[in-house]
Amino acid sequence: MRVEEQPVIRVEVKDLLRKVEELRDEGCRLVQMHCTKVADDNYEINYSFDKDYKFQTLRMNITPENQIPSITGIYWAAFLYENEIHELFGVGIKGINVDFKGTLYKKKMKNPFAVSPVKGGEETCPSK
Amino acid sequence: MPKQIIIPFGPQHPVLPEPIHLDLVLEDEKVVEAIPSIGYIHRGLEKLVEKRDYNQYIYIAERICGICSFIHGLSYAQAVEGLMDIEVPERAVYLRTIGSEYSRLHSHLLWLGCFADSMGFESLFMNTWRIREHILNRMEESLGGRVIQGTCKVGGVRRDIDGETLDKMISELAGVEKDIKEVTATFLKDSSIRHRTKKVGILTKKEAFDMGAAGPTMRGSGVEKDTRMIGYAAYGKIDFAPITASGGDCYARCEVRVKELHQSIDIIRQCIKKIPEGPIEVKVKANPTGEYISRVEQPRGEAIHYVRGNGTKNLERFRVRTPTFANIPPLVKMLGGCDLADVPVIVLSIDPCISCTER
Repeated sequence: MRVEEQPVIRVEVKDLLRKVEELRDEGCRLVQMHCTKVADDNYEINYSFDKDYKFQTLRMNITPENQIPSITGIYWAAFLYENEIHELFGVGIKGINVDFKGTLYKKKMKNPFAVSPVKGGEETCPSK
Repeated sequence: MPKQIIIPFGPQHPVLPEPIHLDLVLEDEKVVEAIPSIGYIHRGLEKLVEKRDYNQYIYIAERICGICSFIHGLSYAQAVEGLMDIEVPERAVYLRTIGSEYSRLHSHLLWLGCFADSMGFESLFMNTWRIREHILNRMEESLGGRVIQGTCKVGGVRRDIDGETLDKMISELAGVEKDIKEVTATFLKDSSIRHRTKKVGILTKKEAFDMGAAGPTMRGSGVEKDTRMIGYAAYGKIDFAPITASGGDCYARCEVRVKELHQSIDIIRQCIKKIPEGPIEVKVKANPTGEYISRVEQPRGEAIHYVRGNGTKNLERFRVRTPTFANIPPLVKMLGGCDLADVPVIVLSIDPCISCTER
């Protein structure tokens, strides 16, 4: 049984920052961000917000070649989510305020959740 | 301008039970910047969902954390139930709530002990953990384990708690409450603790909200937000309100957790009074399709479990956002401008759980 309604609002990459800014101005709290690999080798990037216990998600679909803008200029704390998405999925994110440049996690595989994970060649494993 | 030096804090440090690393940029004794590094024990548990069916995976969800294991199990079960539109029997819902509040009691008592230890107050640490033993013993007897319970399942719970044990819980909680009152009076009134925690590691209400802090870290800054208020499990039928404090410092975060101990005891009493007779699980057939996000309030704050099914027995995607993950940016903010000697107390004040964060 579902505890709450969870509306999903679709956005285009070009409209993302404007929409996130609107939500920030409305007083929404950034709850989380996550990425999911979907059919046709696309990624789905989700931004979840909460205001007065009302939960909503912004969603955009991108291809692996797409770059998306960072929302850290609007929600400073989003840098951890964005670094994680970049490292696990290989999604390009432009303008992250604290950019770990692929060193947030120590992994054996570059972008393990990516459409086509690359074995070896890991730039972040300190033992190599 | 004073010369800047960088001191590495962690991943191995006496106050850190788990590895997180901070590069502390210092000017004399003041921290001017803290740069966090995580990822030392990343386990890739989210990826494992592709190899285990949705019923098996609950055992892995419980092992995301050794402290909030019960609530991780509950959150995962709730996520799959939301996906499959399964109505859980009323008795199971109350049993889950009792289990969650016992987890909160043991987690907050564990934290209070570690917090006392971070200030070198060893006798207080021992006393707090002595009380925690009563909670763990009761969890072992009623839920099936001290650390990993294995109680929650998709569709309900595996173990019922009989009336005799529920009565025993009620009578034992009276003694535990008395002990908690005594020990927490020291946390809130002792002059040396107040000296170490008051006006230390300040996070304002606006900063807590803007940075997406979670749980007592957020409520200690005066933000009235507790995910239990959305009414999952039996919380919709229980009388309680979020506990807040206004200081935004280490003392305020401690005060919130102390008051939440009493609140948890009250919630358990209400649940035991209201729990109905009846079945504790429903049979679950078919495979999940669609997506759902389950939100729960763990001892450290709001946790998110996202699940997506594609009609097969394996979920397509499982994603967890744990409260410590959300509390790392606020921690970085708190550390800016503090004294080097206060760093261990401030780090402990968010109740960091790196095992959860790395998942």
